[in-house]
Amino acid sequence: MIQIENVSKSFDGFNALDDFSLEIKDGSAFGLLGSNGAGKSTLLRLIAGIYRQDKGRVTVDGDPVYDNVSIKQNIYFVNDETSQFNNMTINNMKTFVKTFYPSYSEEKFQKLLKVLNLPADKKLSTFSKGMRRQAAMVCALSSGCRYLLFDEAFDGLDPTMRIIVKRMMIDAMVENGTTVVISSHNLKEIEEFCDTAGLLHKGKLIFNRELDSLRGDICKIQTSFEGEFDKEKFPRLDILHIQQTGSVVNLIVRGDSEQAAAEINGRGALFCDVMPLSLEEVFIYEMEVRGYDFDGIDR
Amino acid sequence: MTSTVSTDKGFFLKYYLYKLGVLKAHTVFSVIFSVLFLPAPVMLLGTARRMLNSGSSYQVVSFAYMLMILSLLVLSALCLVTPSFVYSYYNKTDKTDMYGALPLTRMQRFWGDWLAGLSVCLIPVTVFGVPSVMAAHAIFSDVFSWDDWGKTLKLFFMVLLCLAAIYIISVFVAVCCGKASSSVVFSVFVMGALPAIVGMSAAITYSRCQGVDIYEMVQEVLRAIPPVGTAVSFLANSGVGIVDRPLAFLTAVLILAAFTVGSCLLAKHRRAERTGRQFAYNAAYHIITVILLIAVFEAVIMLSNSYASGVLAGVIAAVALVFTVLPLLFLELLHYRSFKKLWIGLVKYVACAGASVLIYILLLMGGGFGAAYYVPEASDVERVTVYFQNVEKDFSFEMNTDDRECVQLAADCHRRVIPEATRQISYSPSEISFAYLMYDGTVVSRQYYVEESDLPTVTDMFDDAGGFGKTLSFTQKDVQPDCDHVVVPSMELPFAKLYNEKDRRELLEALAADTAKDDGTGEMIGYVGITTEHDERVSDYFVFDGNVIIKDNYTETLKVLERLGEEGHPTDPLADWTEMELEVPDGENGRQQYILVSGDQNHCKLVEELAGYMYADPDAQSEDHTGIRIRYFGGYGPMLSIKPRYQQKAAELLASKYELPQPDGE
Repeated sequence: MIQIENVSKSFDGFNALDDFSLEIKDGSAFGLLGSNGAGKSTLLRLIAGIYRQDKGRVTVDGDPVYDNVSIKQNIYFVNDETSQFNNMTINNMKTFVKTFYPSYSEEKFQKLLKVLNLPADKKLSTFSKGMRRQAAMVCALSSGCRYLLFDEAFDGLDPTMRIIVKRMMIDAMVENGTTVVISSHNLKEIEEFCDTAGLLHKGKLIFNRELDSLRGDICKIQTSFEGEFDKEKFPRLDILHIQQTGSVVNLIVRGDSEQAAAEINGRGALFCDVMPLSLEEVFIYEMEVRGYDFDGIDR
Repeated sequence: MTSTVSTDKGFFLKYYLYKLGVLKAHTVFSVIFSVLFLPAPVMLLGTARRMLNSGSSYQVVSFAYMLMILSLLVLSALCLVTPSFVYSYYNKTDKTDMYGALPLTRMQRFWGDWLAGLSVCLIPVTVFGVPSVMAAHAIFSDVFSWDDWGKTLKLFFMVLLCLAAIYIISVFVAVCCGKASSSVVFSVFVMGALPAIVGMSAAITYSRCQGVDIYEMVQEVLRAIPPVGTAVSFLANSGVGIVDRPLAFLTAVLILAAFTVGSCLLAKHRRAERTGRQFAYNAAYHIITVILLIAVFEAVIMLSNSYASGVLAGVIAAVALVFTVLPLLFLELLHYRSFKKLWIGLVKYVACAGASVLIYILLLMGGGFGAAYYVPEASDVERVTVYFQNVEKDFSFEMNTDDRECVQLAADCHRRVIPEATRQISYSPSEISFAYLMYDGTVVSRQYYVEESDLPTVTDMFDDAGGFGKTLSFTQKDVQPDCDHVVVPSMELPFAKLYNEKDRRELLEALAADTAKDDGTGEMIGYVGITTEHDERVSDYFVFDGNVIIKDNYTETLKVLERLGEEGHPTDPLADWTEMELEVPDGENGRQQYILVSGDQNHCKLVEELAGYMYADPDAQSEDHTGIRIRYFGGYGPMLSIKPRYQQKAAELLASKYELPQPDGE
């Protein structure tokens, strides 16, 4: 299990993470969401033992990660760039992984390489961005590590390849109980792949929920009243967003959707429809509440 | 859920080997230039020397040396840039992620990289260097002596130390920096700035502190600051390395150890997120810029001192200051990326200027850290040379001895000279210098200028204490068995260069008898110089072994010298004569005119023919000299003249044997 307790990390006065706490269960697929500069990459680097926190504790399986060889040999981090491997061939990368990760599986490596059909002896500098990303995935998945951390995991992959890569990850989780942590701006991918997601904003954790419960916790309600909609009349509703077009009002409400609908109906609504929210919408409305500016975005 | 766990040590070794693999291209490069640095040139030199023995190929020798120098430069550059490759994760964020995530501790990673880089830089040089010297000795034993190889090996180990120093200092700077370009540039600055500051401080001290001749001391200090200081000291002192100087060697090793420990500690506390910045530590930036600024200010002070005539010195200082403040502000702008913080640069600039002036003042007040007043204990001195020159009387005296009493006497005399020498001096003062060869192999040398009016005091001081007699006793006791020759080159005395043991012994015994009777009343009229094979460990200060003063009441000595003069030159002076000039005064414009400048052996025989008529004339001035003057090149000694009373005889001798050109050069 990955545990982050009251961790703070700042860069020259900029608080990338501020008294941040999070728990990622073993075997889960965890999606890290957040605006640019929210602290997602910093968090992954802390978990990978690359950065040292200023305050707090980062532990994996109960032990601190930083400078801990036995823990780090079970963590594999794929960052959002792949240029570090430019001078290597896939075979060179294999040597690299094989040297440092004792659980490396040659069989798996060959299998994945075959599936992705990548040339093993060509330098990665001759590859496209997507192919480099695939090569990195192959190394990560064949490393045998129990914790795989991906920063912008699906960046550069075409739709077919995304499906294949996701399938590979799911296989690893099923076969080895691997925990996968992915940060991505592609909320659809997270929604499809992850079972849990955490939203970061300005170094703080906005939520950390299972996606199913997250979707149940926030809803979109379309309603209509005679005259103007008055938010003050609904003090018991946690309304995140209001959009009125003519007499039709769209509300984003946090909390139980049935209770919210009952409340609205009880105040003389002409009609009240409850609609499910996508993760992307959840992200957008949660961020809007926190001052992230979405003016002009038409939904 | 299971996982395999490797031991920490296993990972370290794997990492080291992996990094060696990463540096494959560097290794190939290193191997090629290691072969070109020593094995190839020694083979070429051996072959060339064989060929030279049969009268050929200078070009091969030049080519071999050129190859050696160029390869050394390439190897040095390799040592300079390798740390930037080895520690690439300090410069590139993608590499930081790649290496930072590996199951290694920071220290394992640091030392694995350190060893891998050092191995690539030094192992090929060592592997190819030592055996190639040994092998070449076996192959070319007919043309190289063991002595040659001993020197080559010493030189080789010095080169090895310098290469290691370049690598170690570059690692230190690489750990402080976050960009490869910064690492390389600032490594060069750090390597150069430290010896530059030492050298310039010494130069300032030398120029301003009366009596301080700290050339040798600076050589010793510089020698211990590798790589630049060691190299400069080696080049300046032509052949005196660091390997046979235990103190300097130990100091150099300690400096490098300090850099290594410093690198290790900085690496331990370095934060991964500092990658890609110019400096990982703000302090490192400030320290490096301060060192550079102080070096520049010292250079300004030194230059201003050199051109001490008011306006020029001021112009130099002003120009230098303007051209230092601008680069500094540029650097500050790059570092802070803000105009608002330029005041920090200005404050730093003013502080460094103040510190440099303070250093300058302290150097002067402290007499160059006490160097001006330091006299070594006689018990620490192996050998001493005292050189004394009276400019006005064109007289000089030199004693070089390891006699314990003479060493003590020199140290005592030195202490008495210091207060005399601290006064303001005139344009052409006389000088007295002391050079001590210490038991630890170092040399302490001091040079003092004294006013003409103080000169008798200094002379008497030495004479009263029996210094000249002591020198003579030393001469009799130690020099005779391996005495190479004796020269009587000065003043009213006949010139003689005695290679003949009988003549030498006779002269020295006469000197011994006369000095024993010396009651201090006689006037100095000349001296004899005794030369032997000198110890190769010592520098130019120890060329002569001793000069012994001759006074006008040294009757027995004068008798011997007169006889030697009457008999003509009893030895083979041509051995030393490579060129001679025959000149006469031009009565009309008072200048000397050469009538013959020749390296021809027959012409050089003139010297032999005229040996009995020649004297060094202390009173002769170029504008009123009336004798024929013969000078010789290629050997040590004064200008020789034919005294007026012998002119006629000499002219007849020359006319009877040689057809010489006329004085106007026709």
